[in-house]
Amino acid sequence: MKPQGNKKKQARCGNGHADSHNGNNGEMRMKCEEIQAVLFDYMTRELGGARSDLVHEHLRKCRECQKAAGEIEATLALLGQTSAEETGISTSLSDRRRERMVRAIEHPLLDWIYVHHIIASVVVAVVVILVSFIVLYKTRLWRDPPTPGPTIIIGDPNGKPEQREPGSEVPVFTRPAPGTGEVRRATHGEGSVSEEK
Amino acid sequence: MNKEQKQAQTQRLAAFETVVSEYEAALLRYAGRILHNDNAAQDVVQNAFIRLFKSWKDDMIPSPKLSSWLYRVTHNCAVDYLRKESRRKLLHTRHADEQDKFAVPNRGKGFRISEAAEGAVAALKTLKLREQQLVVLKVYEEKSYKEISEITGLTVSNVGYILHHAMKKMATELKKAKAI
Ligand SMILES: [Zn+2]
Repeated sequence: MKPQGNKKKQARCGNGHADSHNGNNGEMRMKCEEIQAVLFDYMTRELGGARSDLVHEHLRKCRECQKAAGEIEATLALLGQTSAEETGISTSLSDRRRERMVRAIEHPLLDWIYVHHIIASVVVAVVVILVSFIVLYKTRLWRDPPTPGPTIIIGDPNGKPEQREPGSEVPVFTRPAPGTGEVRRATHGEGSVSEEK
Repeated sequence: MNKEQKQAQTQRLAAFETVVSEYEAALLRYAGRILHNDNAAQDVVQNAFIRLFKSWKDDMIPSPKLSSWLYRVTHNCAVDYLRKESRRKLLHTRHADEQDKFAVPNRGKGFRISEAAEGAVAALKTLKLREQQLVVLKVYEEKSYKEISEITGLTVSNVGYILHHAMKKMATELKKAKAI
């Protein structure tokens, strides 16, 4: 059995393998495809012992697979040149991020407001408007303006209005409330008392 | 919160600090290589740690299980970030997009790599996000296929298959650019 096994191994990776590419041997090409499919595994030591030996042996003799391995090696070498320090990636979180983490852990609500500050602002604005409206309504500070009552302008006894300097205050007297006989002196702009019936 | 609860919270916070110190550098490196932006990487890693504190039920002790969890959550946060970014970019005008093509990538302070290495980074960017994730984990973070499988949820053989194709694509790109 053992010699047969060796024979089989020789058939897969045997001498003259490199020459087989020139002859376009389909079977051998298939072997190369299989080898190349696991080249990265082999180079990063992910391949098991027996399979690793097989690839190692094949690479020793096959130029095409050597070329493929060389390309992977060159790619890995270039990637290796871009170490974290060289690409400017930080190695620790900034103080601001650390503070944010602690705040998120110790004060989740405050953190939520911080993160969703636009939504929080809108919610606060709506609440303030609603509360203001309710307070004004409850305290009756916000009511319809009183309807103006008829005013009597007392001027010249002949019926002519009193002549005054422009801009000077015009005395306005409201009609007395029924039963009181009281006439109150007011000025223009002051809300007049509505007449009671 | 009573005294005992407060003490437990303090202890958990101290354990959390230890975990942060242990993994922050590796996670920042990982996120930075996926996002190509140091500032975004900081945000992503910070969010991953906050998620850890809020949802990790076991003892907060550095372990392979915790490490895999952190890489997975960091990756998910990075994917969320990239989705938001692509949506934001869609809102930009074509003119702005054209300007972006020539903009120097934001890699933070101390940026200095060779032209050929820059080509390797560019080739890495041409890969699908899943392929990039696997290359970064394997090549830079030096994770085994088994560890990558635990982080990503892929089978070990699938990890090898994706990596093989990713490396082939990168080598082709680098050959095109005459970098190798
Ligand atoms: Zn071969």
